[in-house]
Amino acid sequence: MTHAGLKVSHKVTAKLINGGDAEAVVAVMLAANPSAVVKDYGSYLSLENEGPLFFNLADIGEELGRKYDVPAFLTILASYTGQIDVQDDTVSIAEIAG
Amino acid sequence: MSMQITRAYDRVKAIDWEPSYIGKDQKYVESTRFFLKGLKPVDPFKTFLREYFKMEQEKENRHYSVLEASSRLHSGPPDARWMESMKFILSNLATVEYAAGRQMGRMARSVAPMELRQGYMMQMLDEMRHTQLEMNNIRQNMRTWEDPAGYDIALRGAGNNVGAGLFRAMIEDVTTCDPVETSIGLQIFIETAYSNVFFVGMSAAAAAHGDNTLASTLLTIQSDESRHMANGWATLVTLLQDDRNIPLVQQALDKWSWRTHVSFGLANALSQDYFTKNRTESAKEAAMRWVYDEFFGGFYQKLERYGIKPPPRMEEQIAELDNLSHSAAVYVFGAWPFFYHRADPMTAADMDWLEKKYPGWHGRFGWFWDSYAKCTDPNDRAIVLKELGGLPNFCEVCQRPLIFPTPQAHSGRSRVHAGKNHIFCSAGCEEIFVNDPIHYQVGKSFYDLYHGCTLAEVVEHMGYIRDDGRTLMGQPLLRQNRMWTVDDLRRCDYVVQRPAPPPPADDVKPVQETAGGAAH
Ligand SMILES: [Fe+2]
Ligand SMILES: [Fe+2]
Ligand SMILES: [Zn+2]
Repeated sequence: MTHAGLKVSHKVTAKLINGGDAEAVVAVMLAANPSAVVKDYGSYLSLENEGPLFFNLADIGEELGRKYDVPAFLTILASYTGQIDVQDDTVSIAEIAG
Repeated sequence: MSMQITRAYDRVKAIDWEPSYIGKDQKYVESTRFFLKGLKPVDPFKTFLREYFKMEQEKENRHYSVLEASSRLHSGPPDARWMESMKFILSNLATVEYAAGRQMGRMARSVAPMELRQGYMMQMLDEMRHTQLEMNNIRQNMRTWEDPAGYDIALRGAGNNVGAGLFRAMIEDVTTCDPVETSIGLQIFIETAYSNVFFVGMSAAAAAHGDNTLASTLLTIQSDESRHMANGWATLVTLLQDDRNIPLVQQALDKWSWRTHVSFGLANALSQDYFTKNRTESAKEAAMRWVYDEFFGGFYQKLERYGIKPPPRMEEQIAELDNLSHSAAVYVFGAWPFFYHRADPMTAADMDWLEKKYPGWHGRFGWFWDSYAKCTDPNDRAIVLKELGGLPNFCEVCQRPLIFPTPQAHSGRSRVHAGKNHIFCSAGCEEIFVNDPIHYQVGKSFYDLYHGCTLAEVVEHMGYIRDDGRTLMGQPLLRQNRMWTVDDLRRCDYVVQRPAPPPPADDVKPVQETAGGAAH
């Protein structure tokens, strides 16, 4: 059920502080999620998907060529849209269950 | 890391205890009207201190490397319009963040179940960090910007400036409302819905105006905000486990939707449209993207399954976006002697952009900029504030002047409560007052302090005078043959007068008190 004016959005986003880490995150995520798009706002990148974003820190570490963990990822996660879940080696952002 | 986050989190949870040496009444100093007993909270971040400090250390290292690099690289001076406007914005941010820290301490102390308390405690530390980052940014600007005047009195300005009253009223409302409602005001509306527009969206504007220091400050701050948004979400869904909380949550959502629109929403709009020069999207476009698409569409709408309805004034909020930044600009530019930065008025190019983004802008607001242009030279002894009829009344809920949606057709109104007349900017604010009048009894208003004083006396009392003892901090232009002094103000012969109160309106009815829950 939707009301006038309350348009439902299924978009999940992650806003990443622009830099080398963010570029590696985006490269891994775009390869794994063909439907995802990235918008470059200069100071930050907005990774957007009509579906969940599942960040595997080991894969990102592989791309970066160094160990990468949850605290390191959260350092560049400026903001997000959706529901976040932080686990040991993964961070996921999914649409809030409606 | 020696132990997995999830296991360590469970272990830490198991060592929580209730003190035996004081009773619950002594431990929980404030009560709430929300029902909290038996709720099962969730903490999506499961952060605890060791990881927290490691992460924050890394953020600081990155941020200070940016500051280091930018002072080494001398990439040229940042844009003057932006740097001057940030005197007003940064001073207010620092005090808002500090208050947010106080609010988290109060929530942790008053109401928080353990899983949420942990998140609130870390947020409290974050907010202290944010205040320090912003104070350091002010200090950096004071050392590097061509005109430090205004940055040097930033906290004083946030404390006594009439425009800063918007921020003070907003954040004091969050501090003094029901401690569970604080989460809805701060974490849901201020942080999830509105802070992104400024801290993420405007970081791009900061960079586009050559202000890499602030771009980095805003983004490193907002990376903590990710956890604060999660605190808000966790608190909200925890509350909604008990059906008796639904009407209480709805009432708080209705209030804060309007309350944040008229405060943080206004500041975002003003900054995006009038404190920038190298513009991309308009304030309205930014609000539609961040607030109405991502927040209301991607977050708020999902609460419908709990029986939560859209806020009743949402359409009105969206409609106001056509005028919000422009009317705010009439106030902030029109009352320039009451501020502590040099104003940079709209050029022909700015006006073309405004007309393009807001069709009809010239017809609605062109008159103001025409008058403004005639009152910038101190030798003419004309002050735009006086030409426009003086300062208007202020809303006793949000402290907006009564010029919204537009100065010509504003929605200001009066209401008598307990034998005293009260003034509001809109039906939304009047309704907030009617639901909780005791909360909005003001001590001394601007007119209680300054009615009958000359403009020069007010500015001197506020302390917005430069080191030479006579030149004003606020100026109507960035560059001029000579700057305005307090003697110029005297020659303009302007006395602050309390305006007549607006007539009452009849579109707000007292609502039934919603019965609240006993604390704990
Ligand atoms: Fe903050
Ligand atoms: Fe925050
Ligand atoms: Zn108001």
